[in-house]
Amino acid sequence: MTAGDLRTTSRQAISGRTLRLLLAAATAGLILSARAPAGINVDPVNVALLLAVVTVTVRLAASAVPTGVGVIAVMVAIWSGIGFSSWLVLTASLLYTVHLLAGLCEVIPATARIERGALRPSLIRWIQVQLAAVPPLAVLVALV
Amino acid sequence: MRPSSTKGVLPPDPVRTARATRWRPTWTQRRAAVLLVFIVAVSLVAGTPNVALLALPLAVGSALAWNSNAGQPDVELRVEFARMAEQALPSDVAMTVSGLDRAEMAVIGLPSGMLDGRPRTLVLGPQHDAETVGVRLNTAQWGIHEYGAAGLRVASGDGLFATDIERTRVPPMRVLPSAQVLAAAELPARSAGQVGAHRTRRPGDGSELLDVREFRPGDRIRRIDWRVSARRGELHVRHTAIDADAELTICIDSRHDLGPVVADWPERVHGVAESETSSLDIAVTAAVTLATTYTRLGDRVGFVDLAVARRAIHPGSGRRQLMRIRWQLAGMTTGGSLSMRSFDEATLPRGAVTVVLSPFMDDQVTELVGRLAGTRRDTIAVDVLPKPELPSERHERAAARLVLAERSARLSWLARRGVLVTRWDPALFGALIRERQRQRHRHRRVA
Repeated sequence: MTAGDLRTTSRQAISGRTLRLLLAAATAGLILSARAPAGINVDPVNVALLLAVVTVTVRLAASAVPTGVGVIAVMVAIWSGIGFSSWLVLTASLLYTVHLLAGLCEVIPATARIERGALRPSLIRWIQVQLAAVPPLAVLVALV
Repeated sequence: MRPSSTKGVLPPDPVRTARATRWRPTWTQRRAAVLLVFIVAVSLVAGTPNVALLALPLAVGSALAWNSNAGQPDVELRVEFARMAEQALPSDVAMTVSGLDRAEMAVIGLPSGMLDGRPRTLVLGPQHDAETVGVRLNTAQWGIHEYGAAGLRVASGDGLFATDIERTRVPPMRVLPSAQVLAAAELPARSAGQVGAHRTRRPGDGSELLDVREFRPGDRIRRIDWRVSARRGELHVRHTAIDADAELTICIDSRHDLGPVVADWPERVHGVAESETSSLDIAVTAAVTLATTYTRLGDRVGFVDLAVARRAIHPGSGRRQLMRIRWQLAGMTTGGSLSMRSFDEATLPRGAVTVVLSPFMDDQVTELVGRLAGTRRDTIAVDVLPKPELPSERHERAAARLVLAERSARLSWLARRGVLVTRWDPALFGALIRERQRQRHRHRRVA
């Protein structure tokens, strides 16, 4: 152990930046899945817009920005005519995922070292939600 | 370098705590409420029931997270640390988080100074009721180290519940300079009293036997050597020499802290160098080495900061005295002024060996040392300036040479006044003291 070293009971840890990468991926997925029914244009303006939204969300996780992104995603989903498609299931799941990750990023700084046990309750809850809410939603969409 | 032990002398480790006891509203709470209301409202207004389904995982997840809350938290961060540490020896800070049973995670902000300036946050989970984190401190540099504050924030339910950041300031820690023990020569004895660890040649009531002679009126009965008296048939007494103390006073000129790079000198007058050995580093190392060596020999050692009058320790002996001196040395910073102060007998006793540690950058210190030498104080001037590296620019190099030449002239002037002038070299110091004592004996014989 040298100067500046940490000694903790758990050796397994992830960084706050990894959490932000996950938030960035989930945010991009949310916007794309909401837009998907109308088709996705890969032009530079759209890509730049998407990157800007993702960056702002990650940077300002402890603010109203993730709420705004959620509202925009819902509006985009309505505008793109999402209907009862599989995109609806994916968008709903990602909306919750973005909400959960933004909540964690609000509390955990980017430079943090996160002991794995600290994320276990959130991970268990995320799996429970995927099992409890997503399959019925998928069945409903399939029936309609 | 062999750092001396302070086991048993260190004060008890202090403790600081931060406590998180109340949930505060978070953006996550607001977001869950706003999104659920917005999605349902839009679905009703637009008449699109499918949109309402977007809120289903969010509603289930928020309900589960809300349900996970077990009341207000009561989490405590306890920081235990030492008030002082030994230079270059490991010193750890223990940070214990307790009461994690009512929260899902504790976010601990470690004091930035502990991790070489990098801010670091640690997120702990609820595996155990209490979790301890150890941080190893950087003790490579002596001095007073500021570490900043430790912070605690507790969260639960994916960030739906979180407390404010509670902070507790970690008090500064003194890193005591480490010492080398010299193979030192004995200091000249100073027979102010009749006690001490040193032998003298003066007859008196001491422990060192000089000779055995016939009893005379006035001799003490307890001085009679009964064995010799019985053998010779007449009373004989043991004739002894008095014991005496030896005293050393260490004086530091703390106004300058100069590194080896001459071009940096103007900026470095007001700060302690972190990366390289400076004049103050050498002075402190020399002072602690001398203090350790001579207190171990049972001598009385005192300390004086020539620039700051209140930084003075009257001569004393023993481990506590050594700790006092090291504690004072660990707090050394540049500053103060060299006033033409008069030295009292208590701080700088006459007859004591006085070692002045200075880079000798101005006439003030030279005059002061000259005055000391003129008051029956056996004075040694130790030059602590690191080997200077001259600037590359021609005119700067010429200026630097001029400054160094003036310095040499000052040291020569001191040598002419009878002051022993030397560079700090632990291997040579003992030999210099021996040579000094030989010179003194020669002078006495001639006189």
